[in-house]
Amino acid sequence: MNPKDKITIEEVKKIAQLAHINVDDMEAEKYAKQIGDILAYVEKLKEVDTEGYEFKSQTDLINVFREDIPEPSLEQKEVVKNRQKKSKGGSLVIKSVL
Amino acid sequence: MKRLYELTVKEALELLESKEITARELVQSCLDRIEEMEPTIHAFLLIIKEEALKAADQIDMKRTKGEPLGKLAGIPYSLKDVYSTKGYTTTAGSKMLEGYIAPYNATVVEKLAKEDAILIGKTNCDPFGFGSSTENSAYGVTRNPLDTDRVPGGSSGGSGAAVAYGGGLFSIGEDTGGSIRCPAAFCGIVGLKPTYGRVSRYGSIAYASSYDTVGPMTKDIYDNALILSVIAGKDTRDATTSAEKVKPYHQALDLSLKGRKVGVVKEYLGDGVDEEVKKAINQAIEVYKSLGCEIVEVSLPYTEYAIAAYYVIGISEASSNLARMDGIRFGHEANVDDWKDKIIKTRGEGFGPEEKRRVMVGTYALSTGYADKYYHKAQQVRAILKDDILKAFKKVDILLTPTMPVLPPKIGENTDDPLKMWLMDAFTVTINPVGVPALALPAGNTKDGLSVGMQLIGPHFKEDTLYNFAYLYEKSIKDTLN
Repeated sequence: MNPKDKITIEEVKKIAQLAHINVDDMEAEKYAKQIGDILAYVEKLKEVDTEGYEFKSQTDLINVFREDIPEPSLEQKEVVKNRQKKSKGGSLVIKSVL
Repeated sequence: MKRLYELTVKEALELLESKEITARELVQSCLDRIEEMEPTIHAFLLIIKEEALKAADQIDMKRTKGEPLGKLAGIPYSLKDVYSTKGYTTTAGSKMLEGYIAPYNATVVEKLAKEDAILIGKTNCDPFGFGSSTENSAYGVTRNPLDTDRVPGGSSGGSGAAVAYGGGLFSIGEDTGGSIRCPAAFCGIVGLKPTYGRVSRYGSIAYASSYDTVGPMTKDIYDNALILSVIAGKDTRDATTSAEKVKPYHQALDLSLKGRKVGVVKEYLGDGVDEEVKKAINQAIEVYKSLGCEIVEVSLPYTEYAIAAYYVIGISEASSNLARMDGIRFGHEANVDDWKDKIIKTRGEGFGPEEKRRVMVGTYALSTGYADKYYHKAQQVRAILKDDILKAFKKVDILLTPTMPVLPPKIGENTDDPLKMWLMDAFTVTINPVGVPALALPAGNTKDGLSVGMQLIGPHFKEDTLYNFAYLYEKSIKDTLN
């Protein structure tokens, strides 16, 4: 996107679709301007010569490994208790996927 | 004589140990104070009364019997509402998690419980940490106790306000891009963003995983150092935690600063910095000179690009972290049958405007065709920022900057202009991408009774150096505050 171009309502709707967020027309209009401003602002990163730079990590830690030892974990009941709609057996209700 | 809720952790521990006060009296004093202040301030999303008093009674009983007690026995504290607490709601300040009760405790909660600290409430915040004023919270704005027309800062604004007015003796905030330091500055308290990996984030609801840090918010430097010594350390449940030794941070505060070097970042005192803020920072520079420090001008030339890099990476990670907010296992659930529509509608209803904005921009920055232009470019700039700051630490021991360039805005002043609000964080957000520690503390007061915050930045894992510099500053200006 060229920073001089305003981001369109259609583009906002496309991004919203990618992000799985329901956005109505009024919201989309507001976000078009705000997201446009933000993208125009971050365009300035382009000015930096980053040739040869790669970010590796914040501290000296890079990959951290451990032995894969099974340990007791939360009960299924505990894990799903925040689910709002439950079937009788306590399992999740998923309408046919395929 | 101070009222009990006005005590520091150190003072309260001394009075508890000498049995001049009981934990019940202390907890009750804070609960009464909360009841008095909440109708105006609204720092808390959950107040824990009965269980807190019960815990206090148990500690008092143990003390009477002479049984061993933890290092923070009987000290009431609050938690930003992003920390998972078994049995209590954790909303992250978002409607998406209204009523959510985590099935386990965050590591920081476990560590504080082990030392017998008493949780008395959970504090308001911008949703998922998205904001610098607490105005984005789905549960209403928190007001600044120093001036109730103004914001307390954010995103840990509830924690900042609670500590400032005595709703608990300390709080645990969360800092992804200034979320501890900004409210510390605006509310006139002390807040630490520790080194990345210093404190476990297990059980903390994620914003941007390569930035998120857990830190104490306290009334003074000693308390802050004491709390860090309790909550820091390696945790097998957070692979990013470091095995670096945890020091008794509160025990080496008084070392002489003679000959030490304080870097003043010239880019951080330029246009756009409020005159009262500049005045306070210049006063701090004089104090360090009088303590025998050498003042060195330092340049961080890439600061201009740091905010852009911070946001691109931060919201990219946020858009990925928040993908789990789909209404399937927990959180808000839209009343729709089709599974895909259900997820889209759940997120449309559950997320507020700031969550939608950040998730959408983050999604865009990671999408096909744009990831190189935005996300990867920002990561390269991040490498330069790290280089920049590590070079500075070859010349100086710490960097001194304002915490915020401005005084706390009036409530509602910036809500229609998210970009302006983002730019307010110029001096704080630049620290998280490089992972170094930064401590915010009061530099001085304005003529209208607001507080100006200053920020001390140190090399990775040098929290002890920050506390040393901060403690001696605090001691030097103690009489001029209040």
